[in-house]
Amino acid sequence: MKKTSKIIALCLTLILIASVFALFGCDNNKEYVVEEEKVFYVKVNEFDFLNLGLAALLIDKDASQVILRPDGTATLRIVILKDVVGALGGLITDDILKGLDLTPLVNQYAVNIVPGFDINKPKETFKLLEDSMGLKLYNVDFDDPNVKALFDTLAGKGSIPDDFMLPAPIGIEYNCNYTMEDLVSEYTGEYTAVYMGDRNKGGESYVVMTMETNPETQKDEVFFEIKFLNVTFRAVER
Amino acid sequence: MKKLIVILLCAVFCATMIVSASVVATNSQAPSGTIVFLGDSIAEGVLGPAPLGERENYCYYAILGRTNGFRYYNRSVSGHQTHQLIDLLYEEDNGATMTATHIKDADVLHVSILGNDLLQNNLGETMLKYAQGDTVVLEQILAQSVKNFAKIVERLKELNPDALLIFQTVYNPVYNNTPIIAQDVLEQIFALGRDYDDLRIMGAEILTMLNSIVYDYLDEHPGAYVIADAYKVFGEIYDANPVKGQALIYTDGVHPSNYGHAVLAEITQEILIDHGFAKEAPAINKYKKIKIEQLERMFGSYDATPDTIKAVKEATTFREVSDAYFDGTNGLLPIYTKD
Repeated sequence: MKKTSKIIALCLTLILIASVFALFGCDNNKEYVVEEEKVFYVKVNEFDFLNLGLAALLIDKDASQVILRPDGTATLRIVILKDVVGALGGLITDDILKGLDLTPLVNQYAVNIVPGFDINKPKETFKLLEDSMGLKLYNVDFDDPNVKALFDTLAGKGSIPDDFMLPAPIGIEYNCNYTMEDLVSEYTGEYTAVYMGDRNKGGESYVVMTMETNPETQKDEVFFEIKFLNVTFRAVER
Repeated sequence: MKKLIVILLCAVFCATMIVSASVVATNSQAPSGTIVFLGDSIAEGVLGPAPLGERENYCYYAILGRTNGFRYYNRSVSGHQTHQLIDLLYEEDNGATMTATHIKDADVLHVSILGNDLLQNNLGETMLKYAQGDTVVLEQILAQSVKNFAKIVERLKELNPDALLIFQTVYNPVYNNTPIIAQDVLEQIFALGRDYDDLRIMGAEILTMLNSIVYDYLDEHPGAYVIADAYKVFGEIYDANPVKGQALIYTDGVHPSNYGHAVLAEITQEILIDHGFAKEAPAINKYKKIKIEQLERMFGSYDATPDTIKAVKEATTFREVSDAYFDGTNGLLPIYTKD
């Protein structure tokens, strides 16, 4: 072999080795987001909270949604039915719940979960929650006299006022960034993960949903689960 | 012409090597192994970190995952007792969390369990009876825990016989004015002539019995796993300085605080280094970066923070970094609103 050919062969071999080496070092998992906004509606008959069968009856199936946007932001919103809110208001004024002392809950947990928590300043306190974790109360107006009365009594007596009326409808909303990733298990198959919230390299967000296409409807669905709270639900595209 | 070809090829080769090197350099920061955390609320870290939004900066699962460049999965469930962990270990993958797959593929499995076997079986009543010299209930609980613990180890070994398996012991969270025991039970215990010091000793005795499940199994099955002895290290810190020892525990009297999590991370980090899964210096540097980022972001407006950052930078061990950070931020309210 001529000298030039030898050099060419050597170079090509080295290029090949380098390329293979580079490829082996690559992380094959690719993060992505949806191309067009997707809205998933919570299926009330597949919603469970604390293994209470009745939980599904509380949920507003139109307002409770998971929204994934092409800009990488997401919203997860669980809203309680208007009528149920009224019934809950009645329940809260019941002897069972009125006078409930929430002080230990505040002192042991709230001040740590959200340092700076001040029950006298609910608006500012919930802003801390929103800024640090993306969680907010949906449709709660802190300037509403009933809501003000609630927090005033909570701050003063550590209890819920006797004549408290819940504003309607209310819920909880989680706003975050999200990414999706196609995962492969060599044992059980392929899954699409929706990581709700920022995640560090190598880690996951706390909420990991599974997205799949319903073979019958051909619509996408997401499955949500937090074992700690026994919360599960499925939300579907319409 | 030949010379030109050679030069061109060399140029292409060099370019390729540079690109390859850059890719490899990027991937040197990519996850270098997989660690899966299993167990209870101590591991899940929902109750413990303050603010909760800093969970990924404070909890031991994240500190260990991030500082060592692991892929890390936390599949712990708050409230889980041993029997519930057994159930979880028999669950098939049913979605993107892929718990079974991650356990099978892990290089390291880390477990915090047993605590709820006591805590969720009327701890107050158990302690009261123990104070009265009646250990029947406690022995019944422990007898079941022994069986369940063995099943957990056997199942984990079945799923992944090659992983480094680490079991974390349960620390003693009892201190003066502990909220872990209800007031009415405390009064009954105090009526027996006991005080908080006695209560801590009782806690130590009961937890020694609980943790002996971990030690006894290992005695019978040498090499089955490694023990991350949180009980021992937390106890040493408390004995040397009760105020600092109490600072290891969250305000609910049960879970580890931010500082407690840091110490738990340090205990396991030493094991990972000993077994070749982690390197000390790069991990400490990563840990410093995490702490400095937090200091600048949440405590940047405080006059003392530059000195704290300096102390963190000068620290040479995990413990020194943690001490510098938590001593420097003690009593300061983190600022974490967006405007």
